[in-house]
Formats: sequence, C-alpha cells, structure tokens
Amino acid sequence: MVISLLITLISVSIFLGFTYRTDLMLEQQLTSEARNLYQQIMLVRKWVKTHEGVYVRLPAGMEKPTLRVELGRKNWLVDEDGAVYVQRNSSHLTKALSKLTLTTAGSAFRPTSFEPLNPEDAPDAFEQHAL
Amino acid sequence: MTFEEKSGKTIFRYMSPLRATEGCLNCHEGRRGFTVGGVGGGISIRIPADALVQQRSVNLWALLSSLAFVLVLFLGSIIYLYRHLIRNVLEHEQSLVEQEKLRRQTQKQSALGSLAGGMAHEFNNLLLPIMSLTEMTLRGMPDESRERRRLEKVFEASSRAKVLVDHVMMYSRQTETERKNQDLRSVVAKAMAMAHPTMPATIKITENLADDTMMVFIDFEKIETLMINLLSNAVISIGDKVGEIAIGLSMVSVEAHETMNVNALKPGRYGVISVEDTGCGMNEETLLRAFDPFFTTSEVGEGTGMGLATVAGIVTEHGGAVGVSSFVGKGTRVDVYLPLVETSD
Repeated sequence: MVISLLITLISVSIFLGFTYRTDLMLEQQLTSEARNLYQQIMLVRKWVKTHEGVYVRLPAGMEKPTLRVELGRKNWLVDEDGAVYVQRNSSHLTKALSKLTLTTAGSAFRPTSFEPLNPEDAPDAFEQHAL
Repeated sequence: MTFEEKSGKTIFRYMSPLRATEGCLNCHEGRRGFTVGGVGGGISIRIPADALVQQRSVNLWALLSSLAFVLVLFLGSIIYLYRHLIRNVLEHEQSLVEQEKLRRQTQKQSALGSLAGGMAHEFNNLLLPIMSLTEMTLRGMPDESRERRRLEKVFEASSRAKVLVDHVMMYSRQTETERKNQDLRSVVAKAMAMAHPTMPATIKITENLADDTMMVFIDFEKIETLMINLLSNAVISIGDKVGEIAIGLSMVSVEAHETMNVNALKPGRYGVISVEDTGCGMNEETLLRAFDPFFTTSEVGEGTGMGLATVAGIVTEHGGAVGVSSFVGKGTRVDVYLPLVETSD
C-alpha cells in the first residue's frame, strides 16, 4: 500500500513538474521572441533618428501627404524626374511597419500611448495597465 | 506580459515602453507622459500562442490518463492487499482458535489419561487375583452346581471389567507395545476380515483400499482394536436401520501444519484409514466431547464411552492424528492419519 502511494505521488509530481516546466519554457520562448522584435524595432527607430528621418518615394498614384515646412526645412523633396520623396521620422516608420505586421499571420506590433495623435493607437485595457 | 483569448485563438501579449525624446515633443508636447525621458507610450506586441495551448491540452490529457491509470493501479493494489490481508488475518485467527482448542483438548486428554490410567492400573491389579482365584476355584467345582454358576458370572463380569481396563490403559498409553514396520493395507484388510462376520446384515460394507504399499511402524493389535472401535461406533450410529459403512485407505502428502480433532498433522506423508457411516451423526457439542473417555450418547449399559478415546490414545501413541466430520442425520466420517515410514526406494 505504501509503495502504491509512493508511486502515485512520484507520478503526479513528475507530470505536474513536466507540465509546469513546459509552460515555463514556452512562456520564456514567447517572451524572448517578443523582446527580440522590440529590440529590432528600437534599432530601426534609433537609426532613423540618427539620420533625423528618412525620405521615402511616394508610389505613383498615391495621394500626397500634407507637405509642410518644419523648423525651416521642407518635409519633402522633388527629384529631376518630378518624383516626390516625403520625410518619415521614427514614429512614421514604426506605424508603417506595424500596419505591415497586422496583415500577416505571425507576430504583430503597434505603437500606443496615453494620448495618441491617431485615435486608432489608443491603448486597450492590457496596454493601459502596462503603460 | 499576458495571454489573451481572441476569436478562439490564444495570443501572447507583451508591452515595452517608448521613452520620449526631444524629437517626440515636436508633435506630442503637452500630452500625458511626454516629457524627455518619460514614458508617453509603448510598443505593444502580439504573438500567436496556439501551440502553447495545444501543448497544455496534450499535457493535461497525458496527466489525467496517467493519473487515472495510476489510480486504478493504486486502488487495485489496495483492494488486493486488503483482501489478502483480511484473508490472512481470518486464517490466522482461525488457526489460533483451532490451536487453542487442540491445546485444551490435549491438556484435558492428558489429565484424564493420567487419572484414568492410574485408576485402571490399580483396578487391574485388583482384578488379577479376583480372576485368577475365581478360575482356580472353578476348576475344582462340580459342573452343574449353583455355586459354579455364580462363580462363572463373577468370572464373566471380571473379564468384561478387564476389557474395559485394557481400553482405559490403551487410552492412557500404559500398555506395552510391539511395533514393527508393516504394510497398512494388509493390516486394514486383516482387521476387516476379522470384523466383517460380526457386522449386522442390514449394514452394507464397502471397501476402497488403495493399491499402494504404505509402510507404517505400528502395533498390529492396537490398530486392529482401533479399527474394531471405529466400526463398532459406526454400527451403533446406524442402529437397527439399513445403512452403509465405507472403509477407505489412501495415501496423502501434508505440506503444512494442519490442526485436526486429535493432534495436528506435521508436513509429511500419511496413510489414512477412513471409516464413513450413514448413521445418525453428531452435533457440534457432541463432536467436541467425542474423544473424552467415558463420554457416550448411548443408553446406559450399551456403550462404555471408551471407543473414540481409545482410538485417540492409539493414534497419539503412533504419532498420528484423527479428523472427524459429522452431520446430524447424515452420518460421520473418521479419518485416522498414521505417518508412513520413509523407505529407501
């Protein structure tokens, strides 16, 4: 009887331990994946900030964004062929990449803040709590 | 970080802060958290985590199945052990009860044997001059005289008393023995041949004697007496009715100690003489006292009550045992176990 009880306890302990360890490992793996993605985003943002933004060519037929002069500099350029290049800062880039990830089945991200410029970026309950 | 269920899918959510820089203030100045170095926002990351859920589910099923298996094994073990334990305890208790019963019986037999044996010895010494002097006086008396008839009755009564004394002495094992190795089958056959003519015609005798040679170290006369006593009891038990007495002889091997009505069997090989009748049988109370000397259920004058007591004495002297099973109205079976002499072949 004692042996049977001992076997039961050992079996239960092994399986509980195995389940807990599997959960922990998968959680760690997901956390690691999320951190890597975050690091990559931050690197891209840092690079963009280093260059005070990047100019991207507007695809033909795409509606032009608001062109303005900021701090005495135009936020657009026009080349000899008449193509328009619009200046994008790190926030623009983050938002654009975010939209791309949302269309795929894998990992996705989005910027959010307490009081976003774009109402779409308003935080949900989890984000609000995290912020 | 957290897990979130959405549209039946599990999502792993992770949030990291975005610290505001001077550049951010161009657009966000005055908004909550937007000071240089402050946390005005963050990057919210979503990673599908269905694999985790599936793994959890598999683990859970594996755990539950294993637990169910172990539980069944555990309960099975408990039930098996419980039953085994209970059986052992009951058997042990039964064995103790039987051993205690046998011990008391042996003590009682021993005490009675000493008492009866002492008295029988003294009585025998008294009988001896009575019988010899009566016999001598008879020799010189006329055949048809009244005194001779009276003395003949004295001699006859003395002879009966001598038989009774002999039985008592046999029970108390105070008689001389002449034991030698003999085949039990031939001993039983001879005893049966002597007893058979005295059996009532209303009783059918059947014999089932094994062909095996069973060498036993015995006193033939005592085993003969034992057989006559058993047959006599069987005949008395059947009475005037039509009945049957079955005589059996077999060989058995005893593997473990076994308590019987008289003595206990040690492991070994035994020759078993069985006498089974279809008589009135005995109830439990009678069976308990059946081997007591002078205990009888017969009418006064019909039996001495020394039959089974003598059997017990003879069997004990030969290192054997006696087992009795009896049912009221159905009959009685007596098994006499005598240890076999181990022969070289």
